[in-house]
Amino acid sequence: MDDTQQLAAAASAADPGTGLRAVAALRKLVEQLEALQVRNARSHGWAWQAIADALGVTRQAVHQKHANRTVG
Amino acid sequence: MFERFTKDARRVVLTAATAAGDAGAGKAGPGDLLLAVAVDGEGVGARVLASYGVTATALQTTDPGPSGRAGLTDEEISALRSVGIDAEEVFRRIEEAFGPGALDEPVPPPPQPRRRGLVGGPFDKDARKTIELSLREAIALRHRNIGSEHILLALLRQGVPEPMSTVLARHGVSYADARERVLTELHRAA
Repeated sequence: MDDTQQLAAAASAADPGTGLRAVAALRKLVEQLEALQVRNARSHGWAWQAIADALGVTRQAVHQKHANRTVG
Repeated sequence: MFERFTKDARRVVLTAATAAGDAGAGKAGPGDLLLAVAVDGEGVGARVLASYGVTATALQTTDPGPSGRAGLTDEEISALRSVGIDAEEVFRRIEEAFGPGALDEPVPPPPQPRRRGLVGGPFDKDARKTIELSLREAIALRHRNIGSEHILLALLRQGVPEPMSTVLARHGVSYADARERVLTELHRAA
């Protein structure tokens, strides 16, 4: 870990810059994880409705967002 | 078709067409358009790409950057650590479960209905589609003119060829996120 990283790691979450960056980064991570998990669920034969229920969103929402990305 | 293009968008279109012509590649495709957006340092599109650390050089390289980190930079990983989230541990477990590169897949944009291309000229079919989509991006944002940022969003919606697509993914560029950054960038400029 270099100095910059140590500094950032030590920075308090009370610092708005760090806190906001963390939120933005988390959003990015969530998008990637969602895409991955939806792909995986589809490849395991999960129906869109089941995926939507697990994600807590509507079937239309999850289908519209992911349908053209998943194989099968 | 181009009358509603801003100066920087016209530059992008011209650069792409010229570059493809010079390379003897014939018609310009979406990849040429993306490169042209990236090299136009003054443009909003280039500034948004730069905010991800994506440069024209990065797009032309065959090494798409660190893998398996969902496009997160060191700085972002540190920021997550400061709020108690160990992103490295997330990556480790994902790789364990799904294998290397599982988090490198591009996050594609929401779908849009297909329509026929409207313009011809020095662009291939896909690039003509990009230009048409950029108009729709501007309309969707209620912007009067088409800038390089709308071309960028159109490219992200449509998808760009490899290896550019992987470069973008590894820098964490997605349509939805880039759209936010475009609005931030425009707000800052205003």
